[in-house]
Amino acid sequence: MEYLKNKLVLALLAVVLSSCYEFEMRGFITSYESVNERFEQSAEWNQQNGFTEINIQENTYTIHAMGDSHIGSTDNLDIFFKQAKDKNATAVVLVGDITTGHEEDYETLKKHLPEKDSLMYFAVPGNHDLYFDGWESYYPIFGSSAYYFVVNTPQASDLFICLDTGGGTLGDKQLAWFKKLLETQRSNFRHCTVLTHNNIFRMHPTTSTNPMVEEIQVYIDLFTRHNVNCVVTAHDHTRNSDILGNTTHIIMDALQDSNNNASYLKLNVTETSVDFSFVEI
Amino acid sequence: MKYIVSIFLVLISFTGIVAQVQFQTYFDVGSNNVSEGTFIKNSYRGNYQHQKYSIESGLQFDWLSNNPNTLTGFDIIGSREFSIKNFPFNVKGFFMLNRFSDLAYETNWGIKAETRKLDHFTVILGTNFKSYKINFDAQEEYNISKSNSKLNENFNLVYRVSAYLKPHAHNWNIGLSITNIDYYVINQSTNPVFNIRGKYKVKPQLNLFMEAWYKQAGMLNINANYFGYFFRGGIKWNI
Repeated sequence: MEYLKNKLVLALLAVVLSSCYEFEMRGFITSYESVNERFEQSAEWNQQNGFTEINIQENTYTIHAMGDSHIGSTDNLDIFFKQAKDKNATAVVLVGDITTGHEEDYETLKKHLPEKDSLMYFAVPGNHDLYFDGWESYYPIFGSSAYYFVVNTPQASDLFICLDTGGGTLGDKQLAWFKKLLETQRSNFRHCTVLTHNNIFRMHPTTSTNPMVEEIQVYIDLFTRHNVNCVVTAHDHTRNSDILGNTTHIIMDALQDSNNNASYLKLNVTETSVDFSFVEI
Repeated sequence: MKYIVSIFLVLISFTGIVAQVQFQTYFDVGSNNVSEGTFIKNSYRGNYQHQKYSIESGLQFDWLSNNPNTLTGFDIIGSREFSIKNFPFNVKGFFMLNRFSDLAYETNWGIKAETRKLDHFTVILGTNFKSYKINFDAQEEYNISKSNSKLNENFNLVYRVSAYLKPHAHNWNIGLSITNIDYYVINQSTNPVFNIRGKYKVKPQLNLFMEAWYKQAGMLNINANYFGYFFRGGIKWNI
């Protein structure tokens, strides 16, 4: 019995210690900075830098998105950037958990990010990006974590809203901004896509956390009321999709090198719809 | 109001039989990241027990909130007591409706088992099946097909573990709970909520209770952030 107990303790210790590099126990209880503090910094950044508009000559275009690369290693991330360039993607979006939050991972990431004039990229933070005081490294690279960008085609303009759910909630300030954005701007655009790290729904039994149910209810109301076409998330590491109202909810596979089913998402935007497909690495 | 009176009258009408009827009402006052200020909710609940069987039902009203509905919650719970080798437990089947918007609502079906075998603890364990639904008016207004009006989340673990200072039967008590369920709210199992509860038996038939709930988004799971809190105060009356 004693032998078994010792083995169990050792096994538990091994699991805890091996996960310490990726998971920060402190983050499970409280974050280094609140989501409201990140939003205030983001709002300031948005005010200074404005929002990006991409003008293209075609009426149809593609946006590539990925999540959960958890670098470390960057093999799949490099492939993702290369294929986006080769396939003339209009932009790419990194939908959180790009790193494990360590400063050295951000240093690695910086070396692998493309030049913005060769490939326009956007990012939102995931929970892992914020561990180990990761926001301090994230902010100088990407700036705002709550913003939008616009793609102008000859026929119409499309709105892409990037939200920070790396802390498990939008927080009241970001939510108020998001709500106001939809109320005042949504009608000026043809399609509207939301990109954020945390999956909104639990489409299969999983331990990956979605927002508090009261917050999910607000999302459903807003997405329905403002005809949000597509919500792209990651976090769960396993692809899934479902439709509620006029909104398609997509969860992406992890792009992480160790994931045998690694893939990224291709959003195909046409005059009438935002369709999607997964591209296996 | 007519719903409350109806439930109350139905329960009272059964008291002639050897049975126990319980009535409970409470107020919730609090705030969270999505409430846009303070909310005040009020619930009325009735419980009728006959031998090993009981049926419980409740209604929730929002007196101050950003929800356009006033009647915002309804639930009904059917329960039976069991005992296996001196281990007593209740098995409860439940249905819950949450009317969180004028466009959509949420339903939950489920089953849970509850035991008070240990004098200082209550443990509840079960599963629920959640559906988010766009209501008929919103389907018409936003041109949503019926097949796209519902999204299901199946087999979600529900739990509550409570530890109390005094035995359950004591005339006052204080307890701590970790749970993902409340009367009209069921969170994902990985979103635990904490509460502290105090009760005081004013008379043999009348209990007062107070609760403080604290909600932290992503608690014990991701990069946790404050979500909200509320206080609950009410009475429980054994008729």
